Amino acid sequence: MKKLIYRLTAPLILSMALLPTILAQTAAKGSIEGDWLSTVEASGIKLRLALRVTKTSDGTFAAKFDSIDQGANDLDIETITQKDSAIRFEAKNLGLDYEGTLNEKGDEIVGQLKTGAGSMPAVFKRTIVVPTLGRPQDPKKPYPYNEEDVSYRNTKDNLKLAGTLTLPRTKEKSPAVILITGSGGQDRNETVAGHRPFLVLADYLTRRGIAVLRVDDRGMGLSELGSPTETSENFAGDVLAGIEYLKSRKEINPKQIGLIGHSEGGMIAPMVAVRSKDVAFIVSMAGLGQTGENVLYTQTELLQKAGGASPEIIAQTSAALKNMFKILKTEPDNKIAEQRILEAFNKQKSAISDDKKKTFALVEESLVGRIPLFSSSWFRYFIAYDPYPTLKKVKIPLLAVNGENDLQAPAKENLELIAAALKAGGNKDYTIKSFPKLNHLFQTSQTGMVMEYGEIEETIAPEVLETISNWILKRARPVRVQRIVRRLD
Amino acid sequence: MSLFKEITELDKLLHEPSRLAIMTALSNCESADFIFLQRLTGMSKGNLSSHLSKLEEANLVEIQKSFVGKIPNTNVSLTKEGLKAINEHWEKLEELRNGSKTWKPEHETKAL
Repeated sequence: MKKLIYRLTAPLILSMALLPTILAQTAAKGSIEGDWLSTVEASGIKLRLALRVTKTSDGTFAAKFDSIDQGANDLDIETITQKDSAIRFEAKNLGLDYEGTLNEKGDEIVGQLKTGAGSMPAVFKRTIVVPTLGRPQDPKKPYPYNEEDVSYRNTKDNLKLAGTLTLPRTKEKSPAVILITGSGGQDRNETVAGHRPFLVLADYLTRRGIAVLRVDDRGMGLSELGSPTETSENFAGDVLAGIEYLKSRKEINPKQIGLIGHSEGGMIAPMVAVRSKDVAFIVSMAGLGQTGENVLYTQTELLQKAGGASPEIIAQTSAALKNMFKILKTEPDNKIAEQRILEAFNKQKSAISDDKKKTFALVEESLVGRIPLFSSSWFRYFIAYDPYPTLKKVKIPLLAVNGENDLQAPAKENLELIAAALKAGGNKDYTIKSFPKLNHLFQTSQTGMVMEYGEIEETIAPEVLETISNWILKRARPVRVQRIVRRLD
Repeated sequence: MSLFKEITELDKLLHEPSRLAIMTALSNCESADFIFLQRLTGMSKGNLSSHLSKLEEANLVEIQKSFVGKIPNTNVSLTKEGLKAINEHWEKLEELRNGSKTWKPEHETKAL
């Protein structure tokens, strides 16, 4: 869900698109070459920004930009100019525009930063060290297990998938899991805001004897691009291909292959399990019990509330979303659907009082911009999808975990529905666990807001790693043959 | 991660002195017989045997038993993974040692 939510309600101040560097003219005196640091405040959250200016061989400046707390590094600044003390830099695709004045000492630039989210004062000070985000759980090589780059084909959709397989060092056949990412294009580490949740999870599990396959999404990293008509069904097919691949590996116990799905991945895992007898267990991390449509209503409201939106905006957004999804669920033609959505918005607008029309214009603008995404096959499938009937058919062991600060796939609503479906289906081995304080990424958090993901140093709370690992190892023990002390001489 | 935390997290399977000696010796030859390893390391039969079992279980070494004429012979060699693991382990040790030479307590105070 992560990517989706960025788009829906909490766009990053700085999107992470990269731009080609265009060099700018330089002035001679009091050069801005060097590293600069600024702390700005955006919707109550402090963000550290770094500007790293270098001189090129032809005497012009080039610059890189980091939004440190968002984990967005090495963003290209298109143009950076210095005319005496007047400094200006710009990155159009990031929506960034800065104008400022360099002081006499040449160690401070005072100015104004314009971003997509508005304009704010920003003072850049010279710095010797650009701070980096602590990511204390990132494992350091060499690992005490084997790591291999692998690739295999989804023959049904005819594309190549690439990933990393980590294997415990043992002669026995290991249990294995496939990690399934959430919505949006994700790499094999599920990289987000400078965190690599799947790297941390894979490392933890492999050290405890579980082999892990994690894979680049279609069109990401080394996996091939899919088609515009693909849906979560196709992603389930990618996971099935991953299972076949693991079955072909002599190091893996083919009877102990499980799935760990995060967010939308937690919705996909049960879809795979009902299509394949080879799935031995499922771990759903912030997976869905609600229908896609309902989860979007809830999360939009939660994120808006947390972001301090007025009850009026929240109500208007909710009504507008309902209008939109109703049309998208029934009208397959994109052009007609768009037309009908715009009509519905007009109708909604005409029904509200004049003083509220201004806020509605904002809601309308942000939603109209999302019509192309919302009309995609993937999205249409997602809003109409109800996980309940599929979960009801899942008879294999299932662990569902959720954080109580999760604003994207709220714990209570989703865990209750998952439990209800499993119970109704007569599943005899399921565990539901909800963790206080944890957000959608399972980080210990204050608010659960998307903006916090990068600031928090923790990638996944250790208690969650431990819970998942222990639960799996109770059901899929690495085969340990009785140790016979061999005389080797 | 701090240098020192990394040191505490070194792979115990490889870093245990006897096994480090065995693995390092093996990384410099294609294979070695049991008696030869025993002479090199000065370990007792039982001790060497037990460490080799652990390494074999982790698929870091391969053990082949055969007969040379009527005399039983045990031959030990590194697996592909074993060779990679021991080389990386020593590279890591060198990297940590070099890092520690230039480390000063001041480095731990934050830049901000």
